[in-house]
Amino acid sequence: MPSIEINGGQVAYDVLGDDAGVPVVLTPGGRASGELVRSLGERLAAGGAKVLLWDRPNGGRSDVQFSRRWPSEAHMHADTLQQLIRELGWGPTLLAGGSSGGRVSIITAIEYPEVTRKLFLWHIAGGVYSSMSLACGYILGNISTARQGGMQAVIEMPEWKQRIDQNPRNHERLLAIPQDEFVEVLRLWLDAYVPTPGQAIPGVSDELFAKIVAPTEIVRSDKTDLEHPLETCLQVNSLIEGSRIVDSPWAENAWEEAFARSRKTGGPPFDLTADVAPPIIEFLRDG
Amino acid sequence: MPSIEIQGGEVVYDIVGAADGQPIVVSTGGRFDMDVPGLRPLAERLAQDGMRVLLWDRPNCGASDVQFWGASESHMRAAVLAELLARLGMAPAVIAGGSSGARDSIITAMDHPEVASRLIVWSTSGGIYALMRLANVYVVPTLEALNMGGIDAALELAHWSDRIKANPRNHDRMLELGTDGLRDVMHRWLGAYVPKPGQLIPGVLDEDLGRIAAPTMIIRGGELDLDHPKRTSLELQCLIGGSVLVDPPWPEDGWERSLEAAYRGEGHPFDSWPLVAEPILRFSQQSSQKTSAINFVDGVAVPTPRTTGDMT
Repeated sequence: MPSIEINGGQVAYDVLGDDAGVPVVLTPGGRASGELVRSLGERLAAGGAKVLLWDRPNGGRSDVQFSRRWPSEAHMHADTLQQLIRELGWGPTLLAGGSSGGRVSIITAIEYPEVTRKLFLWHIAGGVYSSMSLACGYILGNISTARQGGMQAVIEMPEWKQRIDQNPRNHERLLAIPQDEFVEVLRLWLDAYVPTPGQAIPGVSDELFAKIVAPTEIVRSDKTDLEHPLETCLQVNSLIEGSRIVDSPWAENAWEEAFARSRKTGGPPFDLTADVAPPIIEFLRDG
Repeated sequence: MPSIEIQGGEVVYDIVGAADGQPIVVSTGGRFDMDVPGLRPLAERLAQDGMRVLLWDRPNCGASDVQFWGASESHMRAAVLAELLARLGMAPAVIAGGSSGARDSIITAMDHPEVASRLIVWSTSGGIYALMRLANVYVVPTLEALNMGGIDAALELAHWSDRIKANPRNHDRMLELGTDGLRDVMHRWLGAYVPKPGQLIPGVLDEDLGRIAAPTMIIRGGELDLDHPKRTSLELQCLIGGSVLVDPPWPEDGWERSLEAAYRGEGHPFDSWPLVAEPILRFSQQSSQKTSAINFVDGVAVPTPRTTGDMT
């Protein structure tokens, strides 16, 4: 597995498909590794794309990153992604992402239009319940654990234990962060998840969406999906001029059922992702 | 343990102290019951000095019947507490509480002034981190379970299965409410915890705190306490006219050190609660004129002048 140093940390990535293909980067949900969307990547590669899979810092095999220089974790990921695309010499790339990966793709398109060819989004998180629940999943347990037991307790949390198993450098990297600084960074990143008027998605002011000039397609969310509400999907559609809503490739309730399944098995809930291959292939061939 | 039916649910309570003592209710924090460490020793200390202390398992805690209604969980508890005090003939009483019990107490004094002779609060939660955390402790896991497996999955969560073990009626009460019924309430209660301008206390408009007429004492939050910030206690003092602010009876970093100790398996964060007995007794035994209240700020006693103008 190749890796490349960005912002002082190694970022693990993989490239699938023909070098002459249309460049596409896939960013999955959660803090999941790029491996989670490998089967989607293979389908896109078979459809003529050159596909970048990557492990975001704090997810998968990459080095962890915690710093106040980014206002949210997704901003850190977007900065990492644009540097990765540049280092690989890819030029404008179709950014495709779901859930947290959708957030990263949106911020990348806003802040780094020069690396953005097109934007394809599914499962965009937003709204009160979803944002509060993201704060719980990504931030709050880390702050309370650090405050109670210091960084030694943090590295014993299942998530960080797994990051260390996947990449032993993360042991030292995590322990090198002073406890106060870790809490400070996470409190800053927590702010992004506070439901805020004028922020359809966590940590991004609505007016910034006007900066997105890349052609954009958004998969319609299921109206029963609380994690990725239909209203958020329609808000983002309204905020990105010229963006198009495409029909969902999934059955109604597919997300809810996959999510419930993942909670039972402990696996990730994104086993549906390969289904978005056909609309992405169509989108990358258009224009 | 005695119980009494209020708003269609049994509320378990206990009374410590002489029948002719000055009535006070002490509400604990978290979703803990009345046997949480620190609470009974505090009640006994107050009883020794002549107070008649009501302890109660707030609905959704201990062995009381669960209750799901109201603008927030604390609004529901405030309404239950007001009726409980009246039915026990203990109203008006000193309404005292810490952390979630502080929220319950504040709303009781605000919405049910007839039962509150004084208001005393400590460890008041506020600010982004604390409120987000409360949402994620009290509401999000239940919603997540409801979304994934309906009411049956919610019943299996440790907190609710413990409520059923403590009181088997709670099984049917929750089942009767059903997936959609519980989800509606949980979404409403979640909304209260979303940090908002103009709402220091979750779900309470700042200006409504001005309605609190009972003499109020606020025990200040520790300087670095993220769960019960100093800033929240200072803002609360500004919002409750004539209220007095006193230094905490524990070390400035008492809460943080107690969290660390609890993580190591040594003690409970409420172990130090009996220390609030002294300020409670001092404040409760003063004359009820707000103008005579004494501020203990930075250990120095200063009188709090109060013009009658701010009541009109």
